[in-house]
Amino acid sequence: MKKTVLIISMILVILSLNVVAAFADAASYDVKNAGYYVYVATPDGGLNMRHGPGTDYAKVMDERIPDGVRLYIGSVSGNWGYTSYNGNSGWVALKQTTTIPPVQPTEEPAQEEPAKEASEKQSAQVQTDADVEEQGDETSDTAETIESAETAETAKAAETAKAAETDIEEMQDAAKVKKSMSIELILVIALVIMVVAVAVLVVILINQKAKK
Amino acid sequence: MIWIFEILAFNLAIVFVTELTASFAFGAATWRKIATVTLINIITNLPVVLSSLCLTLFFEAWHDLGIVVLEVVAVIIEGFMFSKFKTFDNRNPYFVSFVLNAISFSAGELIKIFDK
Repeated sequence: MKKTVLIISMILVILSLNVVAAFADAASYDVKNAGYYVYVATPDGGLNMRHGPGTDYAKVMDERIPDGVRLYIGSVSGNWGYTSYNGNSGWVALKQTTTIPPVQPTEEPAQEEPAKEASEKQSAQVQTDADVEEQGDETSDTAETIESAETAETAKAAETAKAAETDIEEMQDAAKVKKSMSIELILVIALVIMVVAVAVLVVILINQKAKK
Repeated sequence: MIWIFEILAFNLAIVFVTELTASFAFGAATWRKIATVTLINIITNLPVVLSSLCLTLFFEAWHDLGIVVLEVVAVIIEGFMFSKFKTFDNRNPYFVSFVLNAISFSAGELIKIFDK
């Protein structure tokens, strides 16, 4: 009896060792909290989103995430990050992303405007110079000082508003990612509770039979 | 969701490898005792691993303290069940539970270190 138990238990141990070896390279056992933005930068124009942190997992959606898209990474497991895009949540390969934002292309029509503005400014300047000569230098200096102070204040207010907007956007992105992960965890928790309940019943049954 | 089950399966596998082997050393050599140890580990290990994952993701600041609390609770529950089902004769069930959990926890941490 003891020998049979020993043999069966050794088989169980060997099977478990195989499971450990199979998962050891996946690093799926080590999930860490993250909280930063990355930009998609792939050699073939798109990033796949998967159900788990590894290429063995199925894709969440058929379309790829295009290059240049900004993603919020909520959690990290090895070289994979958990994120949300267009209502879908899943894992993306961080090796195919970068923290450096993509370079925005310059707009050609804007180059014509400075030339137009420059000529308009030139004609206005001639008129202004004539007026200044009549009124005196001191008045124009005061007006310029007030204007530059107002411009600086406006710029500062715009910067503060932009920073606040960025913070709100980051909080919203973080909440989206956390929400989708929470839903997955809640489902797993429900299943685990059922499994634990069954295990408790079975262990009680086994030991009650033994007592008899 | 499948990745969460893989984390649970991986941790459970470590527990089975280490704790079942150690259970033999403590005298658990019958079908009933092996099955009891296995089931008790399922009962305690799954909630501990899941709680640890939730702590990492949502309460990172409390992670280390949370792990200690979870492991202590797991040791107490396992010890209680070992004593109730008389799994380890002539041995303090709480001591056995502490040793088994220490072995499996250390094995898990070693794997993480070697993987880095």
